[in-house]
Parts: sequence; structure tokens; C-alpha cells
Amino acid sequence: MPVKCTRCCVKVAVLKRPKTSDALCKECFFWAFETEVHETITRAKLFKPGEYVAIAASGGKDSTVLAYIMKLLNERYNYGLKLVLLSVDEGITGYRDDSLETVKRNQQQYELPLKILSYEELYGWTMDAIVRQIGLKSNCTFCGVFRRQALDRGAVLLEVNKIVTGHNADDIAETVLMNILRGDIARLQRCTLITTGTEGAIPRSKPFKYTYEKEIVMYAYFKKLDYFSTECIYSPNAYRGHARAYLKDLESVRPSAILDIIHSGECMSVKDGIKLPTQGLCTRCGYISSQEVCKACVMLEGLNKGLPKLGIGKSSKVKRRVESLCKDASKEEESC
Amino acid sequence: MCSEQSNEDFLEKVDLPKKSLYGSSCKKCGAKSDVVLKMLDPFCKSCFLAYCTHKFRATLGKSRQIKFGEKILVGFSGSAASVALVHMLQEGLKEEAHKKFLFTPGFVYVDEGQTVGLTVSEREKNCEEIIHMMRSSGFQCYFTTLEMAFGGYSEDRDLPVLNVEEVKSSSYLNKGDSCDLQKTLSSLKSLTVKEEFLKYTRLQILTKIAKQLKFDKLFLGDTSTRLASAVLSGVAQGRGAQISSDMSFMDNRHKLPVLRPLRYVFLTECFLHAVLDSNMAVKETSMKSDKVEQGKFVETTKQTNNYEWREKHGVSLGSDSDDCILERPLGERIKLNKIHTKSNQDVTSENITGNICHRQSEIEGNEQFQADLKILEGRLSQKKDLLHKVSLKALPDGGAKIKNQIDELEKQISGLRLGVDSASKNMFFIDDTKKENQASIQRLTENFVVALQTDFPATVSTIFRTGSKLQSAVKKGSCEDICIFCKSPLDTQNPNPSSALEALNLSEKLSKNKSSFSSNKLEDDFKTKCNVPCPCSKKDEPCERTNTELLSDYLPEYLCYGCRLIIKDMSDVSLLPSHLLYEAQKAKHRAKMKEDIQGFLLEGNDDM
Repeated sequence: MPVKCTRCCVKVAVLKRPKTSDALCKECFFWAFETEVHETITRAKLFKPGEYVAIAASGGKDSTVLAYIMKLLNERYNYGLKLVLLSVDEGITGYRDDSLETVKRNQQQYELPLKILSYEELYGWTMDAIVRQIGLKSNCTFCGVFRRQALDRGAVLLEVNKIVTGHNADDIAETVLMNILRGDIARLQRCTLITTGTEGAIPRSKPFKYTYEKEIVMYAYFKKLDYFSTECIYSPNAYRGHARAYLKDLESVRPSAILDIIHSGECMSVKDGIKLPTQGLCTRCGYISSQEVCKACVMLEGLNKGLPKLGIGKSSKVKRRVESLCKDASKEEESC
Repeated sequence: MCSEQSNEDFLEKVDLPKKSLYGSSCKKCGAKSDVVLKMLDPFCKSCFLAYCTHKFRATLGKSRQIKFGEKILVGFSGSAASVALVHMLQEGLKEEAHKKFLFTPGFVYVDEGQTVGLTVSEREKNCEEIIHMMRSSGFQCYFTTLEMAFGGYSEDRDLPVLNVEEVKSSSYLNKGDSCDLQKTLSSLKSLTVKEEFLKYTRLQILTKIAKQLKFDKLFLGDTSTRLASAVLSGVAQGRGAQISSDMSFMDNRHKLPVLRPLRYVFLTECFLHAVLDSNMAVKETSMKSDKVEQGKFVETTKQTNNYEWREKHGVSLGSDSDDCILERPLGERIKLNKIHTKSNQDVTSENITGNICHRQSEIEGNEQFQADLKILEGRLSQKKDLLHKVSLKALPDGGAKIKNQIDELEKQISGLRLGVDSASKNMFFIDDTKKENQASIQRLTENFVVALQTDFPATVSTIFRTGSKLQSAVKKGSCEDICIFCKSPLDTQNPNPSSALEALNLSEKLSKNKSSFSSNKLEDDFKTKCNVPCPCSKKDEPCERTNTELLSDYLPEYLCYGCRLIIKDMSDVSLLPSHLLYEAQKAKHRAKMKEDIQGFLLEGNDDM
């Protein structure tokens, strides 16, 4: 006998919600999913009417569903927002060029303007070129550092008020675990905030903070949304893989584990008297940074000087190396 | 000639990937080393023992929490950590000890044999051994069983506790109402919540016993390895706010201060300590996996799938081509439980090269261990000789098999010498079936931490340090805002509308029946109507039924997020221990009183 939807009690249920294990029909699932995102947005007061909001779009499932639902909710609940898609082209042949095609299709489907920024324009290096220099080992570090800045630079160019990203509950729970395993208490404290970068930088928020990855996939599947689903061709971050596998196991033991972890993250803070790195501005590019010179500048310097490994490793060691590099340069100038 | 040449080349290449540090000189004194810690630091026996004792004494000393002449109760479980603790205390209390301890320890053992489904005779045997150990320690020792303490638990009555000297017959095992505990456990649906429930019940009982016997403080044998996995599994169970008290040296949430003097000692070190400095056996039983048979909680020893057991064994040896199986624990006098588990036998029968067999064996003394080592070394040199004599190409597989065997043997030997570190990885991946691994969040986490620790040796200490830098973000409210079960400040009161707690509530509401959702108000009315007469009138049959239902309505209000998860996984909430239900009622009553007089209370005068 087919199971009836637990909400409307009329239609036949087509899915079991990963979050609550309730059986729902398609319509009730859509309704619950959309209402939850809407509640997340309104309860956390993410936007004000009239704001110009950039949706970080990669063409993957999270950002595709995010673009769709932002447009939908904006119209349904009259947020009064002006939306724009913002994509970063890392320059990875066979991966990003394909996913950008998806973003371009989304642009037409959802009738949203699209802005694409490339690493090549911003930094003079594509990821393909970086991987040729550094190999497959620490390439993700470059990509991550550069992308974070690229989004902000794009947002400045577009003069938007806010950025939204497609980070979901799984991503956040995983980051909580990662930061515990790495001992990064500064990030541990920041990573469960729904909005980050309120001072100076353009605020970024995560409307999917409490949305399970599986439900996003379900939503995209039943709405037949068009997204790109290939892993990056360069190796994924191995250590994060451990945290991810652990989280998946936890989820299978107890489905609410993902939200339980986020709850844990929200309920802890750093002890008084423990030093945290203070965030300042990079002396070279003016971007937010906990060091004198931001990571992106150091990495870029390394790439341009033929020392690609410069930016990888402990920041204290990196600092020393940068200093010695500067001294060498000034000596050379003197001797000339 | 040609072949010999190639053999030598080959042997050079085969040289162990990681050079064993066994036998190299002790880091401290330069003598021959006996143990290697974290594959890095060789220590001789006496320097190692001094190193452990130092960590223990420094933890106590720096804290400045123990005053002259205090009485301290030590929770003794028979595990390696508690055995090590006994030794360190014995050492520190000797007349000739430098800076002799100025407090008096006593020990208590709470037998949990029933929760792991041992038969009465098995439990008797366990208890006898433990009691023997305790008697020989020369301290004041007490004994009780979990079901006895659980059944007789009440705020104002004393728990049944026996002085070890008084224990004569085994009749104590039949004392007490064992049904209560069984019923409660069987109504907890998953192993995760069973373990969690037992953890807090155990703590409650230990603190109560300590208080009752007029001790000032309670010592627990939590090692940094255990605390590190407790951090992660706590986070995974929504207990983020409690992490700092869960792993701090002094935990003040309970009836009396709970101290963790082994918090800087690794579990591995405890095992090595127990082995090197031991006249006592290490003994441990606990839940294995959730085999629910007819609603009964059946379980076995945790030996096969628990890493402690594996660590305890140091390494067990797999078979080689001779089909000869050797399994010997690392220990000198580590006695093991003689309980055969089904999976033990399964593993043995499927034994393949490199597999780890777990067969129960009792080891009498160091000689056996040395003999194993000799046999292995003999076999290794045989194989190497063989390589010298025979042309590799002449062998069907180009000598790959022999190469593998040599690798294997060398690994086993170095593992046997190194103790645990090198072996645990092997073991983790081999005999853990997925199901066992995922039996509970706690077990999954332990396995995860241990596996990661082998690849990244800083894992445990990093997690430990991260945990000790955290504190609760929950604002301290009045003393009534404390979870009635785990006694932590409630992290569930006045939640931020944008929080995980509210998000989960919303999701649950949204996917439930529309009509019940809309008639919320009606339900509330019903509740308040029924609430008033219920707590007192027990004879009224229909009322009692609603009472159970009501219980699950109001009980969560007085529980923290983590304990709510326990209740959620419970089939019948009314099977919770009666003192807990009583406390919930009391809390509810007080909340109502407060509401009544709310208008007359002055702000900031919340603590009563």
C-alpha cells in the first residue's frame, strides 16, 4: 500500500525527508522546503527591501537551487531585492568552462543578469597554469584563497550590497568538524554564523544554512532543475575528505546529526583570555586579512617569482620567508 | 651469481619503510629503550614510568584543587586507565615517595555486567577478579552493581554499597530490582542513546556514592584519547555547550567536584604503564553492539570491535603461509575475559594473511611474549635465507609472495615491539564491519579518531587542545535552568529564532499534519486542563495514560538539547528512573509557582 503524505494526508508520498524522516508528497515537500528557506531568511533578517544581492553561482546543485529559490521567494514574498548572478572562472579546462555553460543557461532560464570574473583577469594566472607550477598537491589552497577574494572583488565591481552563497547544512557541519580537527578556533567560532564579514567587507550570507544537502538534491531533482554535477578534475582536499566521510557516517546513524553539530557550534565560544588572530587589512591590496600581507598576495608573489610553494604552510614561516625575500630584493636594488 | 646480486639489491630496497626505533637508546637516559611513543620517542622502562607519573602529578599539582587530608573516591573499572591510576596513587603514597600525596584515596567499582548481558556466572567471575584486584591494592574499596544502585536511587535514601572486605558470597548479584534498569534500557531504541544514558547514570551514581561515603572529590580515569573522542561525539550529539566542562580538569556540575587527573595521559601510555608496571590485571567489559533480541538488550564484551582492546593487545598476529596462527597480547600479565563472542570465531575462521585474529588467551608472564617474538624472528631469518638461496625469477610469482611475507613479518615484529601505534591502523580496517563501526555515534567517533591518529599523529592532542579552549556560549540563568539529567546549563531556553534548534522545530512542524498544526491552540487548552489533577491521582486509570503522554510533552522543557535527543529515541518516557520524573515534576511545579508570583519578583534576584 502506498504511503500517504504525512502533511496533506491526501496524496501519495513520493519521498522521505532526510531531515525528519517524514513521508511527503511532491507539493508538500516543495512547500516545506521553500517555507523553511524563507523562514531562515526572515528570522535572520538577511535582507532589507531594495538591496542589490549577488548570488554566487558555480553551476553546481547548491547554487542552481539557490538562484531558483531566491528568485521565487523574492517574487512570492516581495523581498524587493534586485538579484544578479556572480560567477568566478578559475580557468579549469573540462570543469569550469562546462559548468559556466550551465550558469549561462540559468541566466536565461531565470532571467537574471550574470557577471563572470576570471582568475586570469584578476590575478594573471588560471588554475590550469597554477597546477602546472605547483602540481596536484596544494592546488586547492590557491583556488580557495583566490576564489574568496574574487567573489568580493566581483561584488565591489557590481556595487552590490550583499552576497549569498549556496553553503548548506552539511557544508557547515563539516566545517565545524574540520576546524575542531585542525584546532582552528577562530574559524570554529565564525563558521556557524549565518552572515559573515559585516565589518568593512561586503556581508555574505548562507540562506541554506539549515538545509540538508540531500534535500537540495531532491528539490532540484523533482523541479527538474538544470545543474552541473562533476567533481573538479584536480584532486579534492584529502583531509576534508575524512571529515566528510565521518559526517556521512554520523548522518546515517542519526539523521539529525548535521543540525545537532550546527547547534553545538552555535552554543560554544572561545574561552576568555585566549588570543585570537585580529583581522586587519592587507597592506598591499587592502583586502581583509589576519596577517600584514594577505594570503592571496603572498601566493601571487610566490607564483610570479617562481617560488610557488611560498604561500603554503604556517603563516609564521611564510612571513619570515616573505621578509627575507623583500630584503633580497632591496639588496639587489642597492647593488644596482 | 646473477641471482644473488639481484637478491641483495632487492633486499636493500625492501628495507623497512619506517625504521623501527625499537632498541635505540632512551631519549632521556640513553639506556636501551623498551617502548616507543608515537613512533618517535624511545623510552626505557623507568624513564617512561617517570614520564607518565610526572604528567599525572603535574596535572594534580598545577590545579591546586586538592587540599591536605581530603578523601578522594576513585572510580575503578578495571580498565587500563584505572589500573594505571591505582599504580600512580600507590606510588605517590609510599612513605619514601618524593612529595608524598597528602590525600586519602578510596576506590569504588560499579559492576555493569547486566547491561552487557553477561550471565550470572560470568559476572561472578568478573567481580571476583576485580574484588581480588581491589583487595590487593591495599586501599579502602567499595563495590556495588549498576542495577542495585539504579533501582534504589532516590535523592534522600542511601545507595546500597558494600565495603569490599564485607563481600563474601556472590549473592550481591541477585540483590536489587534488576528489572528497572532492563526496562529503561530496552525502551531506549538505539545504542547511541543507551551509551549516553548509561554515561550520565554512571556519573550520577558515582557522585552519589562519593557523597554518601563522605568523600570530598571524585577521580575519573579519563585519558586524553578518550576526552578527544568525547569532544567530537559531544559535538555530534548537540552538546557543544557542555564540551568545556566535559573535558576540564574539574567538573563542578555534579554533587561534588569530579576531577580528571589522567587528562594529559594518552590511552596508549596507560596500557604501556599498566603492562610495564603491573601486578594487576586489566579487565574490561562493556557493550558491544546492539543485538536486540525480543526487546532484550543482549551484548557481549567489547573486545572484538573496541580499539581499547586492540590497543591492549598491542598487536595480534595473523597467519602466514605456514597457516600457523599466533595471537598474543603484548601484555605481561594482562588477563583477558574468557568470553567467546561469535564474531571472534568468525574472524578466526576467515583468517587470511595480514588478518588479525582475536582468540581469547591467557598469558602468563613475559616469557610467552618473548617466545612469540623469537618464533617470528626465527621465521623472518628463515625467509631471508630462502631469498638468498633461491633465484627469485625461478619462483612462479617472481618472489612477490616471499617479499610480502617478509614485509608482513617485519611489520609484525616491529609492531610487537612498538606496542600499539603501528598496529592499530591495520586492525582498524580489517575487522570492523561497517555495521559494527556504525553501531553508535560514540563508537563511530572513537574509531574515526583512532584511525585518523595513525595517519596524523597530532589528531588527539589537537582535538584535545581545541576542546580545552572552548566554553559554553549559553548565558548563565538561574539555578533552575539546569538539565535535570546531565546537570548542565540548559542550552534550549529562549532560543534565537534563527538557530539550529528552531530550524529543526520548524522542519518538524512543517512536515506534520496540517490540521494538528493549525489546532495548536486547542491542544494547549487540553494540556492545561489535564495538567492540574494528574501528578497526584495514580489510581485513576485513564488519567495515568494521559500522564505518560503529557510527560513527553513537558519533560523536554527541563532537558538540554543533547538529553532531548535521548528522550526522542525512547519508546516510553515513563520508564525513565523515577527520581528523574520526580525532578521534572518538581521543576514544572516551581516554574508554575514562579509564574504565579512573577509580578512581584524583582529583577536580578534569580538565584535561590
